[in-house]
Amino acid sequence: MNSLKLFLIFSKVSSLTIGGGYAMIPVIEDFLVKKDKILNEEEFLDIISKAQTVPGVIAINTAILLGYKLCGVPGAIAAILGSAVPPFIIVLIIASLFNKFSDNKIINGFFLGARVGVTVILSNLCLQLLIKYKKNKLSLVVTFMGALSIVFFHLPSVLILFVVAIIIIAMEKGKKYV
Amino acid sequence: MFNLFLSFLKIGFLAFGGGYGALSLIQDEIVQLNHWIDAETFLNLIAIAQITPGPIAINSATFVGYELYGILGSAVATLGVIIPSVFWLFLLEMIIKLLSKKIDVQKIFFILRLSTFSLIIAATLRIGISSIFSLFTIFLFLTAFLLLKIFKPSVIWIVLGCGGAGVIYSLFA
Repeated sequence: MNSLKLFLIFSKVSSLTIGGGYAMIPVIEDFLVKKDKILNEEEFLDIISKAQTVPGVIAINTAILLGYKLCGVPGAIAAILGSAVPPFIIVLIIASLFNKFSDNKIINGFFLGARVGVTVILSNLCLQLLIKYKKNKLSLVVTFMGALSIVFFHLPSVLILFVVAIIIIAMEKGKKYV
Repeated sequence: MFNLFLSFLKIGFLAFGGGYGALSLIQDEIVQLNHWIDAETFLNLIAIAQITPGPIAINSATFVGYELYGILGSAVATLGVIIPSVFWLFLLEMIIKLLSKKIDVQKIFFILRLSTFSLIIAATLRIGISSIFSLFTIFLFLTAFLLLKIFKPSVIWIVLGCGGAGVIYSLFA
């Protein structure tokens, strides 16, 4: 495994997967664990859980950790470039076209529907998270109130992020988390 | 342009739970605080980020940067959102080495991710309120949600399918 190969693997993954970081994980696994057998399942899972623990773009976190593990600092840089450059170029092309066609009736119709599609995806994500965290009922109530205060009282998201975290820590002290 | 960089740096630093958790932060920074783009363009941008390959946060950074300052702007914003990852991962390794016996690092991050759920709900509500406002959009939402639950297609098909329905509706309505 060298840096160039890492760059190519991560460019393939990032230019083929649609739907963000979570969608990339199984594809990366396919390349590195199943096809090339560079990592075993356990090493891969360890990296994925670290990548999801810290803030930031999950795909980038994964790229940094895997690249560093396989080829050191040059590997990490190659993996970052591989996962950021192809989407960057694709979005640039779309953004430049977008301005030309933003008054078009068909394009506007498309976005009218596509935005509903985005709402569907997000609602489904909320439902899944609700199920995932269903044991922490009180925390969920606090979480929900936090969301309402962002939307209706226009409080900053950053503030709510930390206030909700502090309330949960205070409320469920000593409890076990899964 | 330095402000653009700082904004995306901040988004990267606070994006517990990945791109969807960052949506609410991105909306705060670029729509509410700085008025760089309006709410409707923001929603279109999120839709574009969903149907183009790549991480959502990177795609939004590229798009917003381009809208504001062209190619250089998109490079600056994308860099801003990437840099915090390096910092956090480095910090995580150090914390795990030094403190894993004294405090439960995993638990703290678990609570922060749970707390990020409120940002995801907020993003869903905000986007929902401005996207679903007519009989057609309510009907489309319910149909698409049902189809997603039954057939479990990839998210791109939901966005493209709803977009297609929107085109047909706008041509005939």
